[in-house]
Amino acid sequence: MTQAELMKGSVDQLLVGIERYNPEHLSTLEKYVEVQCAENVYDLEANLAVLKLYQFHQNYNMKITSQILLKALTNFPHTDFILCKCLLSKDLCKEDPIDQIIYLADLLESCKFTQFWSRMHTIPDLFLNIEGFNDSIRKFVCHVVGITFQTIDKKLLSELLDGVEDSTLRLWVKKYGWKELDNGYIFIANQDENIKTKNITEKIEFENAATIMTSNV
Amino acid sequence: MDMERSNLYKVPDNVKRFLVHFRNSIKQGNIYEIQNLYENRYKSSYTLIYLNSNNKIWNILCVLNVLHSLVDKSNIKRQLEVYASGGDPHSVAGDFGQHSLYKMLGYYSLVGLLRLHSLLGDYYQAIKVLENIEVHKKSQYTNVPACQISCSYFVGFAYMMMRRYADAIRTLTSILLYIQRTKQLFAAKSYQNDQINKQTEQMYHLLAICLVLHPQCIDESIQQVLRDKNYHYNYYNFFLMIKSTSKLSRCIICWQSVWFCIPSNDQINKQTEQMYHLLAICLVLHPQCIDESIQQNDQINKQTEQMYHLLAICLVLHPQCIDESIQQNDQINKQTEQMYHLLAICLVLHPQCIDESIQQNDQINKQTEQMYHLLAICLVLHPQCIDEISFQEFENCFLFACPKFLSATPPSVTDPSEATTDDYVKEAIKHQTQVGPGFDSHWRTEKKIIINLDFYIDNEMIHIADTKVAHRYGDFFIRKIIKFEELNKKLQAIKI
Repeated sequence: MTQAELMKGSVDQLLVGIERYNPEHLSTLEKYVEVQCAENVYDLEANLAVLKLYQFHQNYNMKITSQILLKALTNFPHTDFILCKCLLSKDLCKEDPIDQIIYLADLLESCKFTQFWSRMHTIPDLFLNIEGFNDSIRKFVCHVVGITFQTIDKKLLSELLDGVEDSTLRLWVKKYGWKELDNGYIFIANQDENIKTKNITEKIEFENAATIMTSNV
Repeated sequence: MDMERSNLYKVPDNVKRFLVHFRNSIKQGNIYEIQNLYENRYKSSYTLIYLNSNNKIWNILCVLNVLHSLVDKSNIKRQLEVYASGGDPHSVAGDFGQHSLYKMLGYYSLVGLLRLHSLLGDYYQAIKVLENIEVHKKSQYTNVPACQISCSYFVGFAYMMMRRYADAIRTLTSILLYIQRTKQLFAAKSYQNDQINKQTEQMYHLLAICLVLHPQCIDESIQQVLRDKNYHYNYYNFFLMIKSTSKLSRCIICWQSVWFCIPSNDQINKQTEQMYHLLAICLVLHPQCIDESIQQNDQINKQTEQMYHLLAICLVLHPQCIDESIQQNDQINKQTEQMYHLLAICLVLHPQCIDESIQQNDQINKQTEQMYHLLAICLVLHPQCIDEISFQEFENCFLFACPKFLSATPPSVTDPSEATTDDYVKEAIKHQTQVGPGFDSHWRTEKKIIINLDFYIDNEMIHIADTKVAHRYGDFFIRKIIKFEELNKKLQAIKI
């Protein structure tokens, strides 16, 4: 059993009812954030409780806060990041490295993946402690590609995934059940089937009109 | 009411103390809602408690403490859970929860928590507090309209802030419809009338914002109100204004503008059949030839404005056919420009041959080009004028912003050519997806996927699919027939 699993049960106990706001639990919760980063697990509820305690006491631990935000990034496309951001103060959002992280979130949200990667490489220290960060982001990229493309240029896909090697790219392609074509393209899915022009018209069945007709007699 | 009051005096001392705390927290202005409700219900006790209150300042933790204690004491969460699953809440109520006083205290505390969390920016908690409450359903707890309304208001607000626009729109429309239906009932007697009116207005605003960011079909009557109030346009313009600063909203807004303009266009066409029409045309063409008393008529003015619209359309399509003095009219010029915009959008979406004289019109070319840039469909006609990367980003971004992306499995709409409107709606309602992390088990949401436009990218080709919903005439005719029959019956009953 990993440390995160061990902690999860006791942490859940701390989040029930008014106990959630007890500042004495803060150290446990902060430790739990560290464990989450180290073992690549994620617990939004506990992280929000930490931010809430910071908010009440207006005393943000910069390191923990940025770790929470980065963990929220790994859970895109869910809106966890917005939930976390709402609990920060306005001034805090302008401070380094929080402003950097918010900028990264903006890039991700507007799907500017290549910009995101190049920006990320300029500040590598930030992500050192977070296990599996890059792969979580790649998962999100694949999700977006999956709902957008029918076929995609292989080169473009590898760019979107931070210029991964051919062999790694193949692993991702395999994982999502995509197919590599001969001409340097990758077949994602047959979107024809799902995305069609529809015309919805009203059809009045005999049953619908029957009551009217009988009342007339 | 009487029973509850007598209950109040049986309240053990410790709970009374809670009430005192509660009252104080209310005095801090944190939870007005509850204050109103309590004033209503326990008016007699209010003065008593008020006198007992001391001047200690209650901070947020105390308020939370009080609310949580009340929730725990009344066992309301468990009760609601059982109630929601169809059981008898009394069976799990416990010693305190059986009394209706405690039960309602607990319930309103939940609503208070919702409000408090919303104000603190903790939208996740706000929604989670209500995990066992069906906001849209009437139940034994929802007998205070003001409470229900403010509850929906905050739920809608929280959803909006979480960017779950579809949920926000659903919540807001359902409560606004409820208000529309029941307005007469509580308008006269409730002293909370002012507050309800204010909140209703705020909800229309919220709804307009959500609809601009996430256009979809809503109930006709609500749409009509929004149209009358012109909120839609205001917010639309507002978002256009901030588009330069916010990149995401820019992408969304470009698309929105497409759908957004079409209904109004439709409306104009419909209105043209009205009888003020001719008069309005005269007014536009010969502003002097009309009696002043008529000119001040509101409807005429409205129609005149619409005429300007129409005239502008004509002007776009046939630039030559108009008197010069009118052409210099400012309003017409403005409208003409808008029309060019519209036409450009249409052209981008449905490239087709139009009259050549218009196609060569500089203004339209310019606008079309802009549209192509923004909508990034220029591959069809102007392959050179767009940066491919930004185009793809834009497309991704659009899909990302779609509600579709939240659903794990897209709804399987039956073959559209055969599906009737009813089928479609049923299908959409049937399809329940869990949205958002953590809510899966608690907060069931019905999610209708109503999206008018969809697309995918096949290498360098973009395929666009739109959904057209035809007007429904059946209900309309049935209503008219019933009316006619009633009239007929009445006529026959008359004895001469």
